[in-house]
Amino acid sequence: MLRAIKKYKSYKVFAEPLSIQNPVSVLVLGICSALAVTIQLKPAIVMVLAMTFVLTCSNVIVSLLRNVIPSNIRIIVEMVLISALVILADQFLRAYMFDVSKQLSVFVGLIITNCIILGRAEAFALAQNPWLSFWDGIGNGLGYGMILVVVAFFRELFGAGTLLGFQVIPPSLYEMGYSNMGMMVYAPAAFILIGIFAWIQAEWREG
Amino acid sequence: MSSKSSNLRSILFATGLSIIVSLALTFAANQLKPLQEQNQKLDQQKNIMKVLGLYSPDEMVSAETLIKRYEQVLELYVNPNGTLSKTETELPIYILAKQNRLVAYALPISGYGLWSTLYGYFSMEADGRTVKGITFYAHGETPGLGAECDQPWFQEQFVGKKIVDRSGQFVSVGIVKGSIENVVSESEYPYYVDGISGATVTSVGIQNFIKADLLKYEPFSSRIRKRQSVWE
Repeated sequence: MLRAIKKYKSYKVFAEPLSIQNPVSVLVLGICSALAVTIQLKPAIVMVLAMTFVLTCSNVIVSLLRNVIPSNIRIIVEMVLISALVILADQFLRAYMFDVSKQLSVFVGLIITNCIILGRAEAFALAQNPWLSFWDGIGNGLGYGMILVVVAFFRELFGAGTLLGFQVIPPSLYEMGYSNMGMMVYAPAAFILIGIFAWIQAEWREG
Repeated sequence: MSSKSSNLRSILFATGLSIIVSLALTFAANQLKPLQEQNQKLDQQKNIMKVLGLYSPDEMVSAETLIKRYEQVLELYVNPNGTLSKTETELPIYILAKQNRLVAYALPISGYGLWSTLYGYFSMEADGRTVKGITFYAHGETPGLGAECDQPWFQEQFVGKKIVDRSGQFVSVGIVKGSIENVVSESEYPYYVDGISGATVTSVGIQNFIKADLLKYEPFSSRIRKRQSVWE
């Protein structure tokens, strides 16, 4: 079954960004937001969903319009589409997930500047059909998300002793002298973690 | 295709796209506005309850419970002479009372930090001298620097501070640069808190508008300190 699925080109464009073409750990794109929203798991997950939504929609729309977008203004057109989608996502978050949108604050708006999105529109959607662009969007969104969630998992666990806001490190451990790693809540911790992932992945790819 | 017609095509395309996108966004923003406003109101109420000690951000409670709980808070106004009134004045005040006895009161604070106007609430104990809490619900300060004013370490410092000195003079709560241990003498500790390192402008801004806003409510606070009635 899986072998049959693997033959499809859409599977390939979906799966590659999850591993060998990962936008964060291999292509080193989207680092800014990966540092900013990974202090806790919940904002990281919401960020991933918002970003995947924007990326997939922008890919599909750009791909649908690829033959009519005048090439001399194509980047501006892409930016307009992306920013419109980001504003939509932001408005929805404000209406339905107010606390998280407050926590993400400026970073939702900054999805516009996430280079993965413009990068995929330029490098993929402008040249491919909507179906493949759709899978490319989902794949890249989740590839970005995978790293964000793993980084946020470690940062929240070691930085605050909680996961998704629930205490997971038992109080008895604190009584025995365990304490939260203060550095985990600062941005450099995300740099170090992403660096470790990039390293592990590079080793694994070569090995 | 000649370059002239392609320029025209670009302009038409850009115009059409802008119109479609702006219509779509206007429609979405209009549809979602009531929900967003409701959220904003609830968020303000949450913050009022937070400074009054009725709610902690760690609690997981539904919006309905919070709205119900907010019914305990009396939304009143302060008259220029310091008494409370139900008719609107420029000074709204949020009163927590049990059996007609004042427990705590909260007042809105707002003013400039570095980049933005900060909005929040400041609450006082029933004695009119002791700070009960401070919270901010909206600001646009730098994450990691000025935005640290949201952090518990900063806000919890205010709890128990005094806004009047031993002689009864109004002094407000000052925010020093660095740690109070290095800046003021021990007898002054009740009137100062640590500033946010790397965010001096935000700290000074907060210090200034807290003082200005508390001063506006001084007629009310001083009445309480003198144990005069504030109820009309």
